[in-house]
Amino acid sequence: MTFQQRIKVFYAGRWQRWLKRRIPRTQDIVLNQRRVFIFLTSYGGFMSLLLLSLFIAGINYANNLLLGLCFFLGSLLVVTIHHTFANLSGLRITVVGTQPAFAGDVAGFTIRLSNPNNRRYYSLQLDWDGAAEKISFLDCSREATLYLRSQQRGLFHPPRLKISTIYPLGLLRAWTWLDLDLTAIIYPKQIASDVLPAGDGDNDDAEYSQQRRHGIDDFEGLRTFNAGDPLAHVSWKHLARGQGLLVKTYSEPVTGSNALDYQAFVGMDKENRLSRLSWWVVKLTQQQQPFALKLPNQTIAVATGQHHQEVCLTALALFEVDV
Amino acid sequence: MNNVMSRYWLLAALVFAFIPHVERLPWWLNGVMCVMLLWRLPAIEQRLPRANNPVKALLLVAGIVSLKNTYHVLFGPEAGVSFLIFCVALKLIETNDERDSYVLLTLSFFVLATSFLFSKSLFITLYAGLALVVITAAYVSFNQQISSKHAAKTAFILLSQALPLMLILFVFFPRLPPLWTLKMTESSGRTGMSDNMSPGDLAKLSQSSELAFRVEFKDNKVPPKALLYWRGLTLSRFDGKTWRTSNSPWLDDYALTAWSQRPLPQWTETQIRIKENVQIHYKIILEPTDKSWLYALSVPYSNDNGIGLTRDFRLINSTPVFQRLTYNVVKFDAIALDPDLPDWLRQENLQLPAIGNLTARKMARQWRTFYGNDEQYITAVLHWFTKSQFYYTLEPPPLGNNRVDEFLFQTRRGFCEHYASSFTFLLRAAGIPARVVIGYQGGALSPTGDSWQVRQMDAHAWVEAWLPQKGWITLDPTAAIAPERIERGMSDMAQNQEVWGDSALSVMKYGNYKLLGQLRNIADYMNYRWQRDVLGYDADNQEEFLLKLLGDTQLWKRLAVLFGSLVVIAALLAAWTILKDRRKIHPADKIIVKLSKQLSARGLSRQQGEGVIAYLQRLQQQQPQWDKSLSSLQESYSAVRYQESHNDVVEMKKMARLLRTWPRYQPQKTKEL
Repeated sequence: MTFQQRIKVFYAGRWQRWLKRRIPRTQDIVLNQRRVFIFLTSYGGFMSLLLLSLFIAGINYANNLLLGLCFFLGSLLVVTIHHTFANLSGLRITVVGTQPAFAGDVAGFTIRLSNPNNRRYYSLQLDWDGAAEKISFLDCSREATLYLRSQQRGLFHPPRLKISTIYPLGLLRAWTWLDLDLTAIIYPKQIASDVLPAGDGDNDDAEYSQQRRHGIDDFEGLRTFNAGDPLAHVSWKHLARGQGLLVKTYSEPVTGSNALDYQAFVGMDKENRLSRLSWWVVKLTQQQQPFALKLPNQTIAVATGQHHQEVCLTALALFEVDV
Repeated sequence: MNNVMSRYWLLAALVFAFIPHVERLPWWLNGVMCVMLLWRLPAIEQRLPRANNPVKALLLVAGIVSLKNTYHVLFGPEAGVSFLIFCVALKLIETNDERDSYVLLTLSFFVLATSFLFSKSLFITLYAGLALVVITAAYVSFNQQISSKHAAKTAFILLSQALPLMLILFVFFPRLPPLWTLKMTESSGRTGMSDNMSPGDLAKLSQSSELAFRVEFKDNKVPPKALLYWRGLTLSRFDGKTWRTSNSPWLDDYALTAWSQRPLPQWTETQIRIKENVQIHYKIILEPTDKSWLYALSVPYSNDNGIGLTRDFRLINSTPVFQRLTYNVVKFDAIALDPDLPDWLRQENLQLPAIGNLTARKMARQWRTFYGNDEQYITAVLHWFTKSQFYYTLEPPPLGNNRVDEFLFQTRRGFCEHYASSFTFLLRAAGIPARVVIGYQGGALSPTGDSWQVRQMDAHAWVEAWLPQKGWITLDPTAAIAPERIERGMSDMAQNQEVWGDSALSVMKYGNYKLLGQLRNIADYMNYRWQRDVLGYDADNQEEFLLKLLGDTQLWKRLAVLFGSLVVIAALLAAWTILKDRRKIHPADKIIVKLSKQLSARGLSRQQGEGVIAYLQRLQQQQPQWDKSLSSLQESYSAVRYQESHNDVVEMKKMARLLRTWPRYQPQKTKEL
């Protein structure tokens, strides 16, 4: 590391610490003078050059009208400071929620912008880690969702959100950097695999498994006949006794062969295993096949459906992650 | 750029910045600008091709060549501004994105500002105010795409708030001396006297009320107005049409001039005889003339650096006056100037064109012979001017080749220039050395009474004749014809119809003049105040004004007032932005907020998002002994907030009383589950 880099890192660190003290992580914040910064835009810089030349011309030609115009435009710049600041101050930002995503995809971060003071806000620019959105007019509460590209599996806490405005003249920019308390869960990237990573030799377990599913092996009970039930399952005995048309139901234990097992991959590293499991979770859910998920530290019982998928993917996402 | 509204605003801003220059620009540049503006109208733009780079380059070269042909230079205000406008036109065709538009808007501020180099009238300033609103609105339109009306309104609010700040800066900001001297070219359009007297020159000046110079007489001792002949130049060369300054090497001699703070040349001893004890001290504050001659009463002397007394008793400055110049003068009363006229000077002032104006020459010779001596001859001619039907008018009929003859014996209508010219001719033809003097005559006391002001309309031409023993004497034939011109001044003369001439147009002009007399007087007065108080607000005036205002000249005090008032205004603006944040809280809600604050120590404050009624009900559950107070509070609150017919004042008072007499808090036992 060169000396210059060291200085850069030193100041970047100080700057981040200062910012952290000034605008700490928050779920709900109303912008005020502590949190809003303001400076000239490049157009404002150009305008200042114009003012300087007007001033020199005014002095040299002893032309009071040139001087007056210079003062007028200078005053306009000063007044605009207040207006630009006012177009950010009083704005309330509340975190709403996040949408999870697979690593490498975009995760949605939703915030709510509102104006508790009932004031109108114009041309707000949201910049968040490469994503941007422009809100041209805000006179009541509204939500904005920005989609940020996720890098890796785990919890994704995005860097600071920059909200800025150059309204009304474009000569000054007021902005704030908010550290919003929002975290998206990033699932492992999906990698297709051919072999179902089923746990092997777990049939013993299956015998004692509480989880059962419709099957053909073991008699389970009786229920009234519904149209479409196979005739082979009709309990003719009960019919003969005059107890009505009943069908026999059978079930079978859910066996280990339907459990997605972390240990089933041989000779792969952690991330690769998780990625393949991730793929299988999505695939089995699409096929509406119930499955269980076995991780070294956690087992998720057999189930199916969207909620089950989410639970499983979250478990995969957070598996051995430093939080 | 896809927003049509912003585009229209941008074009409007450019048009407003461009209009003040239209009159002055070459026709082809006006054409170029119009074509570019039309080209970028959204409706037209879509149907026309974009200009590509070779076309732009070609346009640039063609433009520079045309500018060079029009102005012969590329520097100087006029050529510079034309070049700026040409660049704006070129920038306009390649403007695509927001950045280019911002550059154009900033340039339109600049283009608007440059119009002040050429005109400083009140009208153009008011117009510039309007243009500022339009340009600012164009800026706003790039930052909100809602409505044009909103853009205009925002611009107007911004500028109205900037106005007081600007006024404070204008009054208090110290006027600094120029950083470097700017040499304006001849074509700068400055109104003022030139170094010769061609027909019509002075008439043109008579229509300008611009200030020529101010005079401050010591101890307010102002000589009679009729004696205030502010000499500028003597003209002794006549070609039958134009009077010019002498080209004699003697008069031009640098060594012959009595420069201040240097030994006086020989001629000052012999050729100036003055009354030692009669002196008038005064100070002249001369507006820039771009010329080196100064104005003063005869016989002047100034000991200020760089000022000299010429052989024809005028003051000159060593350099042209490009900036306002203040100089101190002493006026001596002369007994005789040039008691012995040197031969070269006599020749100079007897010179006449070889041919022409025979009637006048003949008359001069006959009359001179008839009257016997110079003085009687002069009196007779002046008497003739008075008695004959001569009229003073600013719109004389045109004259041909024999100007003097035609004027004296046919038209007899003219103003000071004609009278001075023909009178000098008559004197010279009779063998009396004479010359035309141009300068200003009279002036007026400033409305505050603290100075004497001479304006361009006071420009005048008169005559000096040389008589043996007496030397040079001042003669004013105009005074013989129109004594009121001298006694009352030019602005009074303008009340008289004859002055305006008698063509149909002049009659109309006079009619308008009378009709709008009152209005014109107001406008004149405003214009006059504008010139004096705004345009003329220089370092001296600032000094004077601030002294009057603050009663102190200390710089720190001024800066304190300047920054103090700026801070006050900035604070007011800041208060406005912060207060605008505050939502208006209903007085009934205020009571609830107060209650919540009181109870916050007990952990019973209202939670975020909790409705008022819900809050009061929660309190009721947690502190049952408050039941009575809470019920009546809730009742009053609902009455004030949600019912239409009720007596607000009574209910509010009730609520306030309830709050004052709120029952004590009692710790509640946790319920056993």
